[in-house]
Amino acid sequence: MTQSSQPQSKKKRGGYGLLALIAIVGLVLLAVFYYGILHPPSQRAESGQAPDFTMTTYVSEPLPEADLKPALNDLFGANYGRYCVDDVNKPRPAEYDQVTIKLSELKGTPVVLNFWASWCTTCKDEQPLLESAWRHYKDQVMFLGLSHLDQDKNARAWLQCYDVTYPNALDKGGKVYNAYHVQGVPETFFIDAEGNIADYYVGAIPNASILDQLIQKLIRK
Amino acid sequence: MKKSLLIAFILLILLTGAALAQGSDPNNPHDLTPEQQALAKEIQMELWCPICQGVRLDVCEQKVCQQMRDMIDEMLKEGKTKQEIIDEFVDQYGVVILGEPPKEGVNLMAWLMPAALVLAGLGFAFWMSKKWTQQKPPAEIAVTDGGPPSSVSDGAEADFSAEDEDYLARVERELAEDL
Repeated sequence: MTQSSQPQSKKKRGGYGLLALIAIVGLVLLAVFYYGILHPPSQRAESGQAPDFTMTTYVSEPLPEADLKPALNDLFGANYGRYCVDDVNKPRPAEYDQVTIKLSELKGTPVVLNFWASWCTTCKDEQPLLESAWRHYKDQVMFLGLSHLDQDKNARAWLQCYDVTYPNALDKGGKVYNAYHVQGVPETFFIDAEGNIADYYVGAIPNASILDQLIQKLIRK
Repeated sequence: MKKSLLIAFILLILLTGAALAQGSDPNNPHDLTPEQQALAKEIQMELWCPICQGVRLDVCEQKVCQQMRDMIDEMLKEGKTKQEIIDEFVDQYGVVILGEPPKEGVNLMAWLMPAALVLAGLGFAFWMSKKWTQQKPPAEIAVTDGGPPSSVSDGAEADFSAEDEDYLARVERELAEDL
């Protein structure tokens, strides 16, 4: 009788050990899960100090004709003239040719930071609005464009198409995109002269008056 | 008759010419060699659409994916190796194209779950091995202490509990009744 009861109690203890192990692992996973719920992965930078970054702008020289035309064809279709300026070969400002710009060094000037991509459809309607606002406010506000998941040739063809004259760069590896927790392109951040995020706009800004209001608010701050 | 045949022949030649002039194969717009095509497909199957959820690059229909596939073809034509191409993509697009979830929020589960399962598996294996090694000694004791094989069966019988004995008795009784 004693012989048979001893292994049974040992077996029971082993069973409890396993149960305890499963319970511990389960509790740890549950803790991680709750931590995850309380710290969602994509909390957009909506206020406070804007994350600092440096960007190196695209080459401002237009792409060679042999590259530009097929790229425009691919991005906008055969009748790309519908979107683009008449002279797509016009060089963009040399002052922003492969220059490195650091956000924190722009303190004192409000910044409009736009995330875009050459493959993004809704960016097509927004780009002319941004360019004309830049031309209007360039003495008071700095505009910066960062292209997301993009390629040099396509991005430069895009900039030629809209004759974009404010500094634009590739967001290499999506680092700035991740730092701002952007959810998708286009998205625009309005950073005040102190370097704080004053406003943001998710998706394409629909018309010039909304963009104008946002910029006016930024200047008045 | 001869004339119509001739016209048909000329038409056929013209149409074939027109078909050839259509340009490159839509499945191979960059005129890759069959080896390069196979490699391009292989790379596409290792990368993921950066703006979708769990869509592989080779089956993704987004514009961003089309641009990525074009870039792969162009880099292959430049003579770059598979690893060089993947490295360049990670550098330019980020690790998102490797299909890795960011190490934050609920996504942390994806990183911790495998480790937890491995730990649980090891724990289970350890527990099982302990159980097995613990079970052996009584049998060995029975063999070495019992001497002749007959005592082994005695030892085995001794393991029967009262319940088992009742059951055996019932089976024997019922068998006897049937006979």
